[in-house]
Amino acid sequence: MEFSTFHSDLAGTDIKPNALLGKYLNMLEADAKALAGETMKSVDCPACGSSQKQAYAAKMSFEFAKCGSCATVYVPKRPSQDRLLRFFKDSAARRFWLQDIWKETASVRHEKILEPLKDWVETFLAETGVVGRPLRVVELDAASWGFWETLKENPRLQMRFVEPMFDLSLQPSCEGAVDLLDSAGIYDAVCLIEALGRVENPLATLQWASQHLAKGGLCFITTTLSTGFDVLTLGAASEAMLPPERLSLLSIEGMKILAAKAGLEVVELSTPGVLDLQNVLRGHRAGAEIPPFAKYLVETRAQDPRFTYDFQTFLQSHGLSSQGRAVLRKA
Amino acid sequence: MIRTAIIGYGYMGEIRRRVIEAHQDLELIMVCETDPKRLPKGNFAVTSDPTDVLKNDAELVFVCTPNNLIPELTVECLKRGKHVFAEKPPGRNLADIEAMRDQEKKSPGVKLMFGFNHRYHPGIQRAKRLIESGKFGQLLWVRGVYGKSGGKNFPASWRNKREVSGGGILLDQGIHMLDLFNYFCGDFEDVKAFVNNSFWNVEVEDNAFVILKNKNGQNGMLHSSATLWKHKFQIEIGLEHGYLIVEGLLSKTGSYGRETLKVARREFEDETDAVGNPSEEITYFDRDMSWDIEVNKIAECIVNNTPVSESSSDDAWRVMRIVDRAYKSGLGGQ
Repeated sequence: MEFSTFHSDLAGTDIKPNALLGKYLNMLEADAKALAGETMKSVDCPACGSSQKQAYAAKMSFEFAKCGSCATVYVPKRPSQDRLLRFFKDSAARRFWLQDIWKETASVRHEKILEPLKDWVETFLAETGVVGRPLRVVELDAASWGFWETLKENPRLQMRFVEPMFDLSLQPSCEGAVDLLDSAGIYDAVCLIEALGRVENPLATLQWASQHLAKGGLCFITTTLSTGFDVLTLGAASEAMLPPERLSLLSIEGMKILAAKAGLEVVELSTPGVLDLQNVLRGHRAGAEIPPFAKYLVETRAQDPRFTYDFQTFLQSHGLSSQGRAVLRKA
Repeated sequence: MIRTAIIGYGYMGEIRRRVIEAHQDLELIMVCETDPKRLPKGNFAVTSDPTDVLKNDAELVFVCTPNNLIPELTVECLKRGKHVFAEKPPGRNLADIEAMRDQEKKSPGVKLMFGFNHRYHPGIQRAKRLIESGKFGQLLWVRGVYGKSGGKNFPASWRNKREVSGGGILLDQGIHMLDLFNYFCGDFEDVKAFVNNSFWNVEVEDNAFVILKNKNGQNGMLHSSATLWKHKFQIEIGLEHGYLIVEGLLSKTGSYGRETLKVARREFEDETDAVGNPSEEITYFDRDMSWDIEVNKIAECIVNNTPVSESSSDDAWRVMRIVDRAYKSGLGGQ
């Protein structure tokens, strides 16, 4: 299994401007509160399936638990996928995210997140050995990042996408949309960009990917991990814990278990995040309680770009950043 | 199934056996080893006489012998219509590879491939893809260091007997790096070298410093050494918009360190702190499939009856031409 480090001058505020983010969080809290009053579905650890868990944190009217076996952090009482789909269709916070924050930050997201992701995917696809025909790629765009639109720039790729969080009938003009239940589709690659943390059942999603991959096909995953520095340091104050937008924060160990359960081989598992220190600093400034060592780091050392680079590189090199990515292969 | 035999069951022969036995299209039918203590047991015939392999019905023969035996055995196999996968170096000198190429031309349809497996290491393959993507611009230069420390039995090795090996560390190990230079850049025509025996007092060189230039104006530089007390494999590739460094090499002993690829982009416009010290992204590899990939390549060529296009006799000749010129330059024509 290989892993990589990554460098970027991306700032957290580039993609989540403070004022807009505050408004969004308030709206989401209101939406989440209404949803949390409904009947929920009880689930065991979405990664390893263990029923052992400890209460971890309360956030936005939802309770998070930590798996006693693999340390995945998850919402054990959660809406069904159908209910999530309706929630995201109706959520004012979601609409605000897409129409205001996403548009405001689209340019920097494209340059500093989507383009590097495209490089990453293209590099692995170039090693598949498929020649003489386009590579068939599908994205399950649960986060509505529209990564497929960036990949579409590559003429070698035949792009398709699914938005499981939305009713496809709402997007009749989207060329390339496919039905999630289209069982005939076989792909050279499936992209799950920020999807696994958002869907009701990560294993079912990964199994869908596995079933629709050609032999030797690749599954590209990015997801926020519970075992990253900022998530562990900030706990409930971490912006990564964002129900019902994000219901599962897989641990790095849980990620491996999930891949094995879906019958996929882990080719790469990296934590190339660049925002851990920034996120802790941001949380600290917002009043989050953090341990003394972390407080010293962000108050005294985090202004030195060389230090932040070295520290983030250390986190990346040891699988300790919260931004995870994986390449899985169907044997 | 392609009936397959191995001649020479030393370090490389054992590796080839593992790969052959795992391959869906290959069937190992015979192993030849002149040292009876080394003869393996398995579901195949064994012999200490190479002529048994030449006479039997093996379609593909792996020649895993010391350098001096490779040309003759390869030529004899080709004469009998047997495909050959031969270890590097492709003989002891340019005349050896030319003899094998001559016979290859007289044996149309028969495949001949050489074991330049470093091409198929994950760091090298990833670097190749990145260069081919064009995102880093034109390749400007390559620089390599490849060396080991020898060991207490090093002087006694057949690799240091000129009559058997034909050359020292440059021909034994440095040739992999020179093949990579060719793999990334194409031919190098101009070759200068210093070749010397600085420590081991053996018949062949224990250090070689080689500089190269090709028609595209690209330069290469190699230090090949048997006096690197810390084992080292490193190839740096300078490009217009950045650089790539493959360092460490996945191997059985792990003595070259974990294989990594460093990638950095040029930063000198509108920068202050970062000038000359760009941030590097590092990929760490842990799975060496190079042996399987190269064997799969010759199996595919045989099954599909397609020409050998990588690690071919042409590639072997081109790298031996560099070695030949380096020796002539570095040893004053000895």
